[in-house]
Amino acid sequence: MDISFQTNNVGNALALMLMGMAGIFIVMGIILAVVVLLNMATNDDKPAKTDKSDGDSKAQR
Amino acid sequence: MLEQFSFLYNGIAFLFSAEGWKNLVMFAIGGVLIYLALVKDFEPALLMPMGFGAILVNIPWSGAVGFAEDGSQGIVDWLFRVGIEASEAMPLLLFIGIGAMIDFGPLLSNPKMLLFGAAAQFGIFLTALVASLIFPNFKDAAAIGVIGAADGPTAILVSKIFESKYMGAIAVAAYSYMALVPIIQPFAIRLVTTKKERMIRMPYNPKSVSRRTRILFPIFVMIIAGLVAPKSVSLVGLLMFGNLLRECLKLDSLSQTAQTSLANLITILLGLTIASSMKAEQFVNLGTIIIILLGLVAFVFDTIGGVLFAKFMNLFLPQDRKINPMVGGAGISAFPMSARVIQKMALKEDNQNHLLMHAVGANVAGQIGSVVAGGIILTVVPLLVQS
Repeated sequence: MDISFQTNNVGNALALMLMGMAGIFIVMGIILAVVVLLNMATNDDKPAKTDKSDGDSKAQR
Repeated sequence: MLEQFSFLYNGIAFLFSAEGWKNLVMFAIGGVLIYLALVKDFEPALLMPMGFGAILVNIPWSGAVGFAEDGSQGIVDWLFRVGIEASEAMPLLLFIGIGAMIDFGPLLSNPKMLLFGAAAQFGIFLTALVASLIFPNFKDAAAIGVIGAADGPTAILVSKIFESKYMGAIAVAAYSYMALVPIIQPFAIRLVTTKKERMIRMPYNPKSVSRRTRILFPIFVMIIAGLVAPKSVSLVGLLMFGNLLRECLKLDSLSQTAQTSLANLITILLGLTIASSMKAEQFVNLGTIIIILLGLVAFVFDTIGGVLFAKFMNLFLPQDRKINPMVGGAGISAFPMSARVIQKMALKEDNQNHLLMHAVGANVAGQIGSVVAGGIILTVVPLLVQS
């Protein structure tokens, strides 16, 4: 069993944490900006009727 | 003479031999998963097939795995080879169904919730860091961290692409902890919040969302996520495709099929298929126990990450617009369980404080955040390993 305490990959893991969290925030930030712009651009459209089939309790997979 | 009847007792004899005890352990694990599914109602759609499959593949010389004398492959291994190994088809196709089930309306009317969907992925990376101290293969550590995505298909996909031999343990941990969200999240939230903070009221004044926005949203999300992390395109793309089927309102029968028949069919097969990686010789080891424990770390720190980010945002918000930090904890991908947990906690502190729609917004943001996180990990980890 190849399990033992070792620090060889700590640098990689910290780099992954930094790049990963930064990347997620950047992507979500861009999506946020796009949503705000979309809402502004379609402000005059009629509000959407929602789909009756919500799948509320089914979505957790 | 007795040898002619040996086929009757060889299997039982093996189970009680020096090599067979691990199979007995897997029978017990399968039984526990079935118990959790059917008696405790913990994710029955996945845990029951996984539990059943764990027993199925660990019956000595099971015909459901391996190769027969005529060269034909056992059905469970075949499903794994075709449905997961060849193209990751099963988890990806399931995403179409999941996307068709999600209503992004609460998020689109309150898009700042997207930030909680990002913050609540923190547990993934912290767990990967801790796992890297124990597992020498960095890709294994990263795959273990993705348990924190609180998203079964993403966890399975990443562990398959990284060829992690811990896929079975990762899948069991991911789905088990998703079912334990009502226990884990209140504990984690109480660790980092005060009663006063948990009582913060947030009025809900949703902006109306046009049909055009609902239709364009999945298209834009796919493009944006795909440009940043191309390896996330299959994950995000199929999730958003399912959502577009729902929101276009022109393809109701396809949307219904995706939400019901497709999702149910894949779910039936996926649980059994995962059992292919739950064979005793792969599963019964110290690594599995460590992974199960690390899964708890992932979920706790996902919640803490989201909550602390909300508290950070509150430093810059006026008193009447503060965010209840518990809403940040809803940014994990366990939808809709997490949103309901937050609502229940809020009502317990103040029976007039309804946070459900805010929490739902953060929760669906977590669906996007988790697949984006998975895509970023798939993109970044190979680069780090190479360098």
